[in-house]
Amino acid sequence: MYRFLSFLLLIAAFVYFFLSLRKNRIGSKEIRGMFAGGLAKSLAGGWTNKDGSLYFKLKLISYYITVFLFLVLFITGMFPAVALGVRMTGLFLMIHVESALLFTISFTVTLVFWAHRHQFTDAEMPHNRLTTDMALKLLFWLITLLIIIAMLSIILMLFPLFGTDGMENLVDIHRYSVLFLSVTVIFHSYYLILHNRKRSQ
Amino acid sequence: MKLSFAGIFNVFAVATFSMLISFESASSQPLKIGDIRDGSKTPPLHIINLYDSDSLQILRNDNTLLPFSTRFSCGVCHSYDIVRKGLHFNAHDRSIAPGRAGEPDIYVDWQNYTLLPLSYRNWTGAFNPRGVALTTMDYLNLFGTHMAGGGIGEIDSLQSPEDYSRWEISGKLEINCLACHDADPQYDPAEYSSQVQKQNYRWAPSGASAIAGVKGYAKKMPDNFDKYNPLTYADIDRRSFSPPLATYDLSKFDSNNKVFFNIPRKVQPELCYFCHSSVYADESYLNQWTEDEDIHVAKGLTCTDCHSNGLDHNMIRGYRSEHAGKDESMLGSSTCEGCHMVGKSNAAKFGRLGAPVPSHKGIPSIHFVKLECTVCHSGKEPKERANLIKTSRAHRLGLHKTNTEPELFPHIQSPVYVRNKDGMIEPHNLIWPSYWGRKRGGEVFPLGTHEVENILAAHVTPDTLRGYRKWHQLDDSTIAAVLRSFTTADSSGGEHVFVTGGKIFELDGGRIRVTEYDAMKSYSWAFAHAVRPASRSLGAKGCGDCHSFYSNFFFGDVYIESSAKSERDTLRSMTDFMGLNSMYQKAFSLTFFFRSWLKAIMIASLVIISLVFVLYTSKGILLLTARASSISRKNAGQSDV
Repeated sequence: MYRFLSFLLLIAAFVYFFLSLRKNRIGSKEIRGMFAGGLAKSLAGGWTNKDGSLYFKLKLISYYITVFLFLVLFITGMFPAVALGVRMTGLFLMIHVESALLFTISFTVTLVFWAHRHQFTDAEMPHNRLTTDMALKLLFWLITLLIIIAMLSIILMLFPLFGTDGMENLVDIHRYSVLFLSVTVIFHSYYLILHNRKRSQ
Repeated sequence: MKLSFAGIFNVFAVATFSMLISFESASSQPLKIGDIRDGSKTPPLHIINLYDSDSLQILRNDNTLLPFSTRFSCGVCHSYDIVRKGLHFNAHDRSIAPGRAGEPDIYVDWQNYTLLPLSYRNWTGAFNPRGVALTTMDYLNLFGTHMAGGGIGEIDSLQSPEDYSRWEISGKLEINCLACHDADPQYDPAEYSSQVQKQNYRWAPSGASAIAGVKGYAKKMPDNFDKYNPLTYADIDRRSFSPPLATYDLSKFDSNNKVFFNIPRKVQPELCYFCHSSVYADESYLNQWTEDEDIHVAKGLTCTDCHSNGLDHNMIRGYRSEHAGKDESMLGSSTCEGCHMVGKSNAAKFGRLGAPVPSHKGIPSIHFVKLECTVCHSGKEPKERANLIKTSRAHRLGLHKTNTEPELFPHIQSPVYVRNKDGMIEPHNLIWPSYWGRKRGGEVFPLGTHEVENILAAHVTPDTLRGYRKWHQLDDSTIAAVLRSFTTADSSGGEHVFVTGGKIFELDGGRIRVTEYDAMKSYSWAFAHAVRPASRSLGAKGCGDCHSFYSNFFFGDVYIESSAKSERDTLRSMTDFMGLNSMYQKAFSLTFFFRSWLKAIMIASLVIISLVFVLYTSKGILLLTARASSISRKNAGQSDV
């Protein structure tokens, strides 16, 4: 069931993502330019830029590290469960657990740095239609909520509070919350690309 | 054609009779009065007549010479021919699936550097006794002390013609019903074993019972000994041994020539223990009072509550795959999972006899996919090095004057965690076979003792070798010399090898070549007892019981017992037997070292994330409600301020 639903939702989300980009005439080269430039700016240029504050550097670096760790978690979690249809064990499990620890740290930092930028303002609401900014903010907080659920389900498993069935339920909660998180991240990426393009124009 | 009522009735009667006849012939043995339950839970009193092996009744006032026969005494009310197909008696029957590999009979001949797992069942890794030139009588001489009789002990077609006269004297080793069912405190299983050692097969159940005493040695009687006229033996030779003779306790007979047997409904665990005991040769070896009983027995269950059987005596062994493809609920309920876990099998009656359903708090379900229940709950906790264990059958425990040396051969190591055929890890007892063999077509066939001893005696001095402590070893040059002697002596030109410690030693141009060979691996068998309570299980003290850097479960050592000096004192990690990567397990265990940090960091992160989320989403909700309020006031024509 989970495997089927994962295939369905992820494929639907990716199809929507690419069709929407095509509709807005955004090519892969443009996307690469946006993110590669950003990454280089943050990781290399950021430190050497004398005008950039430490806050600015950390803000960008934490964001890109979080994205990278999310990708690691997504691959190590989804590949065995969805692609192979087996339980996550062995090397996948070990990488997943270690990355998750780093992810929680980096996401906490990212959230602290980026929360203010994503706060809802009086000027934005209400609008008759969903703006890119508003969508980004909504998706940002939805991502945060799903990460809280995913983290809480795992933290509860680390303590001897639940029996086998209870732990199975917690694993299910973790898996489904992460599935919806992945879909939300795909939508967030789409709106982020739209937002960056708008800003660059 | 006109049919009358009588005609129809006749046809029906004939048809019914024919069906009954065919049913009777299909079930090879008709049921007897003791085979059919009347529903009463009171056990029937067994006051019965005794019959000898010629089916003649034994009378109190007769000068009876022969012992009673279980086949003819118990067989009056119970179908012996159905019972004899049961688990304890059917090892020789190749038409019966061998099931999961169990404890073999271990042939130990340390003076010839030989240790072989033997079984008539077709278990992978065990050798058929016929393959090593052991006749059924040889086999009973070696292992009959802890056999329940029947099977090879009484089937003529399995007997070797060269033993014909010996079988005539010893008689058949019938099923010893008393071995399991006689609750009389005077029943002596050690005496039964003693009678078997003397080849008094016919006399063994009588000798062990409280009804009769048996003296004499069938083994020492000449081939022409006449069991019906033992006094003739006096004319032959009576200097040292007496002929086997049963003497009945006449007070046990009532006025109707019947005797009482104390046969309760349930088999007493103490009777099972005679063949199924095991003891760890560690610091607790001599301290029986420090050992805990199996938790099931401590709670009042008996062996047969789980290892039960019907009339067919096809006892449930209780392993997971035993009931695969069968729908008998008792089979399904007699595994750990079937009894203790809710709804795991449709056929299972979980919770039988008050079996608690464990919650396994804090244990991720992956453990139940990869580990059998016995890993955490059975035997002793793993130590830095696998324990030596002694078992009733391998070390002849319980016999009169048995050898109590803790490190008596064979050396059985336990627990060793091994991956089974279903891909699950389970605790095993393990031995390292060692034998001289003949290689043919990639397979190695062990040589019989008679083929080995003379040649080996020319190279080593067997008299100096003891049957306990360290397993004896040969250097490579001696092994090479022995192999050369075998080749010289073998007119068929076969290639000879020495298998020991999981390796094969063979001559390669005059020098010894050592290779690992899958088929020469250790032999191991799963065990499930004694079961420890949840509070004493692996994992009860936390994940670190197994997932720690020096955990005995993963990184405990198993000693490779080899007869080759070049391989001495070699150890292998448990992970090798589980098919796991030792480095990975070390790395994985290391993550548990940081587990408390992981918890602290994750909780702290979660608190911060939740605070930020609540703070900002609350602000958003406040704005939303304020704007909603302002819109509704505007709509009502009021000022926004």
